[in-house]
Amino acid sequence: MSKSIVIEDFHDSAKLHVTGRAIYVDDIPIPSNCLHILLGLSKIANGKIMEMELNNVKKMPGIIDVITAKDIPGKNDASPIFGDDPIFAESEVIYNGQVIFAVIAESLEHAKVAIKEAKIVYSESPPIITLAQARHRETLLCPPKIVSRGDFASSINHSDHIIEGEIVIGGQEHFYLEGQAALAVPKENKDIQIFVSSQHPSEIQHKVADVLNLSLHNVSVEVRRMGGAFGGKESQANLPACIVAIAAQKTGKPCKLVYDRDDDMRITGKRHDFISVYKVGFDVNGVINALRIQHDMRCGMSMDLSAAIAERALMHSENSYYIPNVEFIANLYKTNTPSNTAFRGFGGPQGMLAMERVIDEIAHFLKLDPLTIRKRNFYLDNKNLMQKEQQTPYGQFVKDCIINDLVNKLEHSSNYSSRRKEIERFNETSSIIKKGIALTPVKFGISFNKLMLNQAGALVNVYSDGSVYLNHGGTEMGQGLFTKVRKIVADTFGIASNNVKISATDTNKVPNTSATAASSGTDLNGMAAYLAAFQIKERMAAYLGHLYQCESSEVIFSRGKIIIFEEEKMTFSQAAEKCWMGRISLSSTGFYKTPDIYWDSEKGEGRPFYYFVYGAAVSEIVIDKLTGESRVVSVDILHDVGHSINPSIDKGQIEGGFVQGLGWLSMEELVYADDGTLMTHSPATYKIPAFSDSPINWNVEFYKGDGNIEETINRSKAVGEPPFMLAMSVFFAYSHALISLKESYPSLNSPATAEQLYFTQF
Amino acid sequence: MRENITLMLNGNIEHIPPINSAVTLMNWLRNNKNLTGTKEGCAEGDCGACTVVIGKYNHSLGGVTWSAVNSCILFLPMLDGCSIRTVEGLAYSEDELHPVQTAFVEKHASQCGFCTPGFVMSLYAAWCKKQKPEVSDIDNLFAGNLCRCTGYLPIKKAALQIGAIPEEERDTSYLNIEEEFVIRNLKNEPLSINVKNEKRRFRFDAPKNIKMVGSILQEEEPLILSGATDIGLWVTKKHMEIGQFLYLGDVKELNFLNENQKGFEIGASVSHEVAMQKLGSHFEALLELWRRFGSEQVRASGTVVGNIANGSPIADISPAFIALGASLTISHLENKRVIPIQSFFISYGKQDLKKGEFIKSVYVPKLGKNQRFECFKISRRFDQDISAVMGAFLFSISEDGFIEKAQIAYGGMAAIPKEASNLSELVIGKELGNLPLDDCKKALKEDFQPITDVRASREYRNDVAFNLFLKACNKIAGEPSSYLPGAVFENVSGNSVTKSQQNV
Repeated sequence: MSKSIVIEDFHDSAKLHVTGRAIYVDDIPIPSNCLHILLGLSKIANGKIMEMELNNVKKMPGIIDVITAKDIPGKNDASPIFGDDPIFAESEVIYNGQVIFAVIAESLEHAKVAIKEAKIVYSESPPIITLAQARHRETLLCPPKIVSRGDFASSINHSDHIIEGEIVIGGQEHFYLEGQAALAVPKENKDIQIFVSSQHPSEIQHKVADVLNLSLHNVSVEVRRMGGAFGGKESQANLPACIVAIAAQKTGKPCKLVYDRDDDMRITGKRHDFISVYKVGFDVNGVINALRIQHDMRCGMSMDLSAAIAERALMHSENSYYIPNVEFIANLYKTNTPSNTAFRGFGGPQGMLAMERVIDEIAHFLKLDPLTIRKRNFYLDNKNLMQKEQQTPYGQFVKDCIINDLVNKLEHSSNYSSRRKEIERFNETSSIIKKGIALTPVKFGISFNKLMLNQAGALVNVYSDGSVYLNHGGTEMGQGLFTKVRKIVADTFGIASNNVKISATDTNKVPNTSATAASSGTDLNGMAAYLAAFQIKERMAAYLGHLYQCESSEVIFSRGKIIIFEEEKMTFSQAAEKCWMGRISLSSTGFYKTPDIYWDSEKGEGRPFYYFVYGAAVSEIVIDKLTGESRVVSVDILHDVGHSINPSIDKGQIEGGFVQGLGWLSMEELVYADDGTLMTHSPATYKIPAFSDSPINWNVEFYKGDGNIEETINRSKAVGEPPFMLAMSVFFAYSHALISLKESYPSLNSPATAEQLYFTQF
Repeated sequence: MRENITLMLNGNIEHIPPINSAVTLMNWLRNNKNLTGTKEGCAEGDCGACTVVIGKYNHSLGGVTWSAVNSCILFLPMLDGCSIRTVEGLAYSEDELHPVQTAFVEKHASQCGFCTPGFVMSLYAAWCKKQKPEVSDIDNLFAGNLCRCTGYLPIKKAALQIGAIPEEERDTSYLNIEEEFVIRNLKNEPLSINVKNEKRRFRFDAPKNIKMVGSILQEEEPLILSGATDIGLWVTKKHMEIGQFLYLGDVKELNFLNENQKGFEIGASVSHEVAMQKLGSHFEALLELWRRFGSEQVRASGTVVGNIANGSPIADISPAFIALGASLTISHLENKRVIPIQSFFISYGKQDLKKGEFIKSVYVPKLGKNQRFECFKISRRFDQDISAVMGAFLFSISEDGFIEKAQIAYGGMAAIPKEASNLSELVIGKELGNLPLDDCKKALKEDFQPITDVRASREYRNDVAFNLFLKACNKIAGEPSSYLPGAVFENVSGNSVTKSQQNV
């Protein structure tokens, strides 16, 4: 066997992953009386159900029951906020793929045979599928969201130049490898336990309680891990959880529902697609004076989280740039398609892509390197100066800005300038193959914009043998949260990570939690777990100090030992036993709320973010003008993670986020037919990046700085979402290559598929 | 005749009583054996989360071979006589992992972990095949495994860690018992499952000789099954209930690949993997096409003849073989007939195959001295994607550069794989470096009126089909701008983008 030196924790489940012993919802050993559920989905996008004949389904062998909206004891709603996501369609159908009924069977095979007997007669109305149709019919879900500053209308006339344009930004399917899955087990006295693949166990608890007319304490929800989520299991897991709960309560037996890939893609919401229309005024040097961007968003058939996503899009539409006069508007359009939802970046990527497009087009107009324009518009790097060039359009000061320094360092380490020149020389002589390069920055705000969500709880137990049990409100979806939080607790006690057991997220252990989302998992739960562990440690230190007649501050917890006056007194295990015998409480909860943040949604103003994360990437691509095929040749990333808690996990987030972003911008395309049928409902037609799509040359470095200026755990920074947007460099590298093929600005739309790249050259 | 399936699972022999429906290997592993490490990600062979390694006797190679396969679209009876190893069967004990597993742990190559068992098994398949993964072939090794979390870099590092282990240090003890099992079971009676109850009938025949194939086809109308890389989806995706299968995978006389001076004869149950190895050295362009045909898993299961028999307008092998002038041998009891491959495709979903007939083999002539063959596949994603357009070009060129003969065919341009007869005819007698391009474009427009679908628009197909023709001409004319996506990065780029210099 190969040997290597362990310098940091491996993923807490790595050994389980590689041996197939990691348990996901569909792998939980089930009692033999467990029933299986298959969903009946709408085949039309808009209309009325005239007739629903399900008795023939019920009569088929192996079928226990068929349930519809009528079988819901409580509310027919799975929505996170607005009450507008029916679990089962009642008389009205609002999208193609909407759930109408559920077949409960002894086995999935029985259900698959029986479901063919269902007969539903619809009265169809013309659906609204595309953004163009929605604009035409003005189907706004709510009043437009606005973030503005200064006076755009008058100031733009004082600009030297004005450009107007538009970019179409496609949506994105999450394509977590594990589909949505839920298992309900009825318990005594109406209690019910739900196992679900969800980023938000507390919300599942709420929805199930509402659906079954129960109190929250009757419902317990457990999430050990998810097979990927990326935002797609924040609100989207509510529906399967509610359905298994209804079925389990009605039949009195455990019920399981796992979406197969096609159903998953047809039912669940995706990243919002945008059409972003811009008008920008700038001077001869490319310094932007005034900018208006109108984002038209396809939200699908309900609100879901679209309002918050729109706000985040607006708050990232200036990316890293100071722009004096700004008008950012988001129109939220309702369509007869799945309700679009959270997805890594949460509107930020679309907002930033539109901004970077504006920069790219200004550079083309002025015949300058886009990087030059970027640098001329950056926020200032000065710390804590609170100058106006550090203030965002929504009023927050960018106190921790490092974007100038970070970009300069990356520009040099990647040899950006000389490579750009070389590429332009290459493009002059190469007629068919064209290359492109771009450097794009990322500034991403960390915190939920809903204040109440910025809280977390944890529970730490030290047992009398010194083993430690940890539970917190965050969920593990592969991002390594459990591994990081375990390390934080282990470090607090001065013990090895494997002495800390991290357990499944459970609403019975830590209540009233927030979704694991907005990149906040470690910031919130890590701090809560630290506070819990710290309190126990303080108690232990006080007691041991009393025993050894020293101050508690002189009791040192290090390397599994208790050290007093440089002398090893006992192991941590012995200390735990001593404290237990001394009747010291060895259990504690911890609670954390993010300080100093506030947000006025009405005014579009506040300090919504605790801090910002920065990064930048240089990407080089090559395209074939005869076919539009392309390949990412080389990528250099410099990214700011503060003081990393686990560098390998952080690198994994950066690399994984980048490739996911690359997929969004280059090959992942959602195609709906005119009748609202999702044509790309499986990996045969919906293509996420495969192994050979990851960059050929790839350098990922951390920015070496002073850590987070805010008091986060270990002065680390969130890392989940920000790297996703580093992939914008790929998109603008395509743009650079296309510039060599045409006179006018190549208004490239996303995703830059081979076909898109091919036709944009003309 | 034998009704019980016999196979080896993680080193243990299993006798499985007759099953009564087309249960997949993956579902059997998960539901009957509680081996839930094998995951369902798509149930169509596109994501690789269900990858297991099977050992099977390969008559065309004369020995047991081990391959990564997608267990989600293989039917359980197809595994009769095979060995299967799943991710649970790799570690030596709870604490002692297999080196491929250790590599994944040490390189932080799992995040959510759901795709991980599949990746581990793909790497283990390379271990079984005594491959030493290097930077240049890791892309191929994992083309059939999707990961949404890692961006693939740590997985690449894990594979390189395995590649660095010298052969003498590689433990192959699992393979020895599996090989012995597979060879021992070759002598078994053929499998013939025939289960009837009131409503349903399920029959699965796996004859061992061609005579039995003929006689079953004479009496019954079973669905002919080879690799199940398409038919598997009829069950898992379309939820079709198929009552009767005739499986060709155990017929020794159909598992042959003969080469002589004139060409290659490929038997009906020869996999793409085997054909790629044997034909790839003669047809360089075909090798590249095959490399992008499905994935390791799909090529190991899927057969060349199956790809043709399927009749799909987007099958990649068919246009290539049309251009190469291949022919099919079609059997019916003792009789056979030989037809040019293009005449097999009548219209969408309709092929020249009558009741009782089956394709026995396909013959592909070798290139003559003055012949050049090129083919290009265009798809949204480079690996594991269905073609938007696939173009294949065979030219006979005189010494002074004139085209004497041309056979040009396309996939994705019509309801069947089809020759571009107008274009093929037009270029004859023309100088390769001096073609009347406008006329060529016109001829191609007359040949094809493609449709717009989810993979490409009509306009794109039209343009690119013509551009692929240009590409082929340029390449044959020896112009330096070779721009096969696979090769482009080594040949074209000026600065440090060759694969050997990858920074991993």
